[in-house]
Amino acid sequence: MTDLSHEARELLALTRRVDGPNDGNRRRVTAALSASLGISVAGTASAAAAGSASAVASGVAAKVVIAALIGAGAGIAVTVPAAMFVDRAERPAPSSAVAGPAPSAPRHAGPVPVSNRSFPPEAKREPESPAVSEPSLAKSSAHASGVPSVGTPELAREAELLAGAQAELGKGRPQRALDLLNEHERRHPAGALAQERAAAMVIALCGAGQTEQARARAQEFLKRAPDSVLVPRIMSSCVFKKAPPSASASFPVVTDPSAAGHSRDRR
Amino acid sequence: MKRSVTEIGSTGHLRGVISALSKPPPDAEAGEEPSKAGQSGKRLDFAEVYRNEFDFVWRSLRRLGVDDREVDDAAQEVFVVVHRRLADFEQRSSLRSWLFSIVLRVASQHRRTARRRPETALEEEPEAPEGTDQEQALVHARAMRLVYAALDALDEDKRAVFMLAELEQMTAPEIAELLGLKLNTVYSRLRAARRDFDVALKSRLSDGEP
Repeated sequence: MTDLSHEARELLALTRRVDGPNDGNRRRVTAALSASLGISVAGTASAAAAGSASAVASGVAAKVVIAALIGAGAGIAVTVPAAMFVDRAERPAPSSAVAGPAPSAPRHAGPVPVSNRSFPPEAKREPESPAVSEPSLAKSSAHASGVPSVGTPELAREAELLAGAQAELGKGRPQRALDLLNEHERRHPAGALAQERAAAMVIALCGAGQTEQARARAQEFLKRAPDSVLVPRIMSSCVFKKAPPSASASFPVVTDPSAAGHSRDRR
Repeated sequence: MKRSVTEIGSTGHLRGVISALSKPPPDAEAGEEPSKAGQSGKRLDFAEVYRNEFDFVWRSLRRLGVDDREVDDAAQEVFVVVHRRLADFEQRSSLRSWLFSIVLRVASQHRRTARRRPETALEEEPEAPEGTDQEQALVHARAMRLVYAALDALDEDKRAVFMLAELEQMTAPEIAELLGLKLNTVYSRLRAARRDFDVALKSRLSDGEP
């Protein structure tokens, strides 16, 4: 059998030691899977051992995360039931749960893209505000189990902030939404929901009449995440409209969420 | 003649650091056992499969050429398929074998998509593991970049065999079972892959790649 060169073996050995996923990868995929499958991908032995509080939090947080993700994606109220993601495609959008204008539920029900790798934080905007350290419970749970619960306090806090921002937008209070989104950016610059925050930020800036800032954010978004499922939302914002934005604008109507990179489920 | 990677001119700055890295970081080579659930006949639980196999799936996708920025997405896609089909998995093969066939398909799809897509970002260093110091992280990142660049020179079939043998450290019979290949086919692909990998690596090193 042909043998490898010595340098090849050395480099392979180095690579073997380090090229696995880190906790950030695990958290992002776990959160996205929970959102796209409508189940909690928790249930690790160490998570259970960590105490019933985190187990209870897990289910609640998963629901919030799902609502926040989908709210950001298509303008649906934060009360969207998790059950709508259990079935694929066949289930119609629950009109009773809709608060925003003309909802358009994601029809693919496939994977919600994991945003963060393709959307690093915009840390330069808040140089004086370093990220708040992660909660010890989330850290220890993640390290011990390898695969963290989706209901980590970190994620729950992220989802809460985003859900709050969505709610403010829905009520026509873009400045309040901006405050919450800025807080999210300060606290979770590299959070699992960074991309959802960035999209909501564009909408909120539009609503607040800050079109130039919205344009800068939108351009940055499209540059960094051209395949995101949130692209239709960006494209329907004030940035791409000739008319000036309404001061009370909240969610834009997404008429066809499958138009840009939305059909991820190829199987 | 065998040359250490530290003796190659352009990689001189790796000198000394490699030896300092001889001690693996915590958990780095723990190499979790493949899940036996698929062979035991017991009902498979998705959360358990996810927990046991996430690391294997994730690193396999990256080693099979999925862009660093898309590995999380690809891993998610794999597990969405697993979730959908787990009940139909007949356990005639091992769980890993079935899982890896999904990984291969998803990786192949991502590579095709990446080829069609124009470059939108500058080349990035692979993400270093948490908890290493900067110098170590730099060396690790460069080693990974060299290895991945050389892996890119392999065709899909050889790449899978090579990656399982040299990075996953599986034996040829294990690879044959995992991929459903004859043992001789595994040996011949591995032989060719090692040759191609060495050629590609030397080419990168002589081109002045770090």
